[in-house]
Amino acid sequence: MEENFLEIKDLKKSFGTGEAKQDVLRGMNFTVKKGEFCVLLGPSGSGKSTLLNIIGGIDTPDSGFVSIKGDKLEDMDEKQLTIYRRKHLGYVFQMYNLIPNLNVKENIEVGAYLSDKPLDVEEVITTLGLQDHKYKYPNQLSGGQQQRVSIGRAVVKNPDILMCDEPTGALDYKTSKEILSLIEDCNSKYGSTIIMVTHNEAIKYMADHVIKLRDGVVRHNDLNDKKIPASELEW
Amino acid sequence: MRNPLIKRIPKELASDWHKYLVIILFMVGMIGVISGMYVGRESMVYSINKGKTELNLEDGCFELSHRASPELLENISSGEMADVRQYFIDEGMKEADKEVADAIEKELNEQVTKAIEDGVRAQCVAMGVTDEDMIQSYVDAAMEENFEEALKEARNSDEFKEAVDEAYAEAHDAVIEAVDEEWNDIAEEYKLNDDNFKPTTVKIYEHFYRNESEDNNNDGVEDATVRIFKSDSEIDLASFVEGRAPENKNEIAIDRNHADTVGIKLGDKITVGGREYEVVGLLSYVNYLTMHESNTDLMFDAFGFDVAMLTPEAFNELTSRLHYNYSFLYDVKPEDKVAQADYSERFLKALITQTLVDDNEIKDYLPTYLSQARNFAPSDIEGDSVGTAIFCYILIAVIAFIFAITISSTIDKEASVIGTLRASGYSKGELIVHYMSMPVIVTLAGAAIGNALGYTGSRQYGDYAPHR
Repeated sequence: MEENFLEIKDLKKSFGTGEAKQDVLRGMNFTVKKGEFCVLLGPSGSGKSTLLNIIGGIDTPDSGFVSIKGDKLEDMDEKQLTIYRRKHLGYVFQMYNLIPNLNVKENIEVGAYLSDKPLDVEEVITTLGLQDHKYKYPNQLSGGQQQRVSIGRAVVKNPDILMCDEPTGALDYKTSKEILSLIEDCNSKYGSTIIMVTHNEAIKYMADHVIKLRDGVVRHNDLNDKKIPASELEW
Repeated sequence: MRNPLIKRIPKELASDWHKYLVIILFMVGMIGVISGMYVGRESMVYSINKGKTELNLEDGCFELSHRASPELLENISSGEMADVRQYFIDEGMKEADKEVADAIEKELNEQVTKAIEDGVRAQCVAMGVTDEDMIQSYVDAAMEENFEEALKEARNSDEFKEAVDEAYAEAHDAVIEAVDEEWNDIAEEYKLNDDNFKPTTVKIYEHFYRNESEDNNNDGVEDATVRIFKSDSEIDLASFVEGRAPENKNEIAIDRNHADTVGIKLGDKITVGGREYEVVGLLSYVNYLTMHESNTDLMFDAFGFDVAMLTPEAFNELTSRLHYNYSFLYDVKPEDKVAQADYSERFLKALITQTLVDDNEIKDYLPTYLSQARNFAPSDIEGDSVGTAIFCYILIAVIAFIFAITISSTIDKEASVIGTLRASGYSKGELIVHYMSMPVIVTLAGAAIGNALGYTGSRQYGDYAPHR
């Protein structure tokens, strides 16, 4: 966990023009180390999702930069960004966004196909506890099961960074904790760096690194030495 | 590893099969019709062009009022214009010389007679003879005795010779003047005074025909006019759709369009020119793709007109008027449509002038490039192909529209999946290929099936396509 794996520097981003102009990111700075479980905490409108999009190369900042392993995203063209996402990133969204006419195994294979160092699909399915459901289609699964598939699709890529955008936002308490445990497992088992966006304060206790955002700037940037397992979280 | 997204395609097809079935059926129908029209057109044009050389299609034909002399045919073949002016002058001179000679003879007789009579009367007056009967008897006697001598003397006089020369000269001048006046009009009308005229040499074939009445059902009522050619013709040959050429004088082969239209089959008996024949062949003459009896007919008439083939023997037994029709082939073929018109115009000049100086008469002249019977079908197809092309463009627009709508609804429905796939590292190109593959597969399938049906089912030009 020594090197600065991800660096965010003076990141600014605004939407709209003139009076309707809204500054979403107003000079954001932080770094994430390799293998860290990092939680981005903040109320809605604090710029969490925009930040995640910029880190993912989906959106571009007005100024400042994101660099990963020393490579600045702003220096990359469209093709290089695609390769960057393909090689280094895994995404988990609040809405699972599974492909409706592919079954569980096939949805996970979509992720494996993209990676040049994928994990074994069957092993991931087992880790996620989906071995009994691997030939089911998304509409035959519960929300929690769908989110597992979504995590599987991201994790099977064996990404350097796993980006989770409110992964438990649509799930109940019990299922949320299961999902968080799974993400935790991926962090410890596969060594992925995790950046999780959430507005759930309780989740910070399971993270190595907690960054609190408000109004487009970093308010608190704390390392957590006394993290507890997800299963022991309460809210 | 194979792209797992490919697995979506058969699943998509299976789940939305009714939607794609409708689209494929629509495309198969439209593409089938269009490809059928194109294939039909191509094969028709192909067989038309093939027949042009294989069946010895004429470059044109002309009909004379009576059979052409071998010299006339030779002169026409040369493509040279005859010297019509000189011909007129020669003819005029002959006529004028005869008239002048007659007039001179008459005048001479009168003058000699008068001179003798005057001499006798003068003597009578001097001798005091007054009795008219007496005078008349003297005159008669003098005539009897001196007329021949006096005539001879008068003929030998310089005065007479001078007068005769003058009369001839005057008559000849009048002839030339009259001819020139007439000639200028003709030359202007047919543009015969062309300094750049080049002869168009041709080979001429006798291609006589007769128009006879045809009675299809032998009920004694004429049903159609049939134009009959001989089976030994060397030009404008026929291709046989069914059966064969007539081999004896009781057999006939008739046009297959006409046969189809009026319901004549092989083996049927029909009455032509009062004689009964057995139909042994259904044919298509290379110069009668459609049944245009006259070139001024706007539409072909497969009911009321027919072309047929008889053996020369049977042909010669017919009694209706023989049409002295001659076909010709240019020795050097014109390259394009402009050249065709040019060739035809030059040939016509030779034909007009040569026929005129041979005392024959042109009844009809038709270069093939203007023949309705030959060109109606090809130009009809030409028109159809424009329609087909427009139809094709409309189809493309409709297909594009259908897919624009289906793809757009798919993309709306899949927006979040597309976003996820993009975020996971799928490139734009991969996703475009993925979302385009379905419409492309459906289109290709529709095109393949449609074309297959179009090829096998393209019979729509069967109505007047020549077969070989």
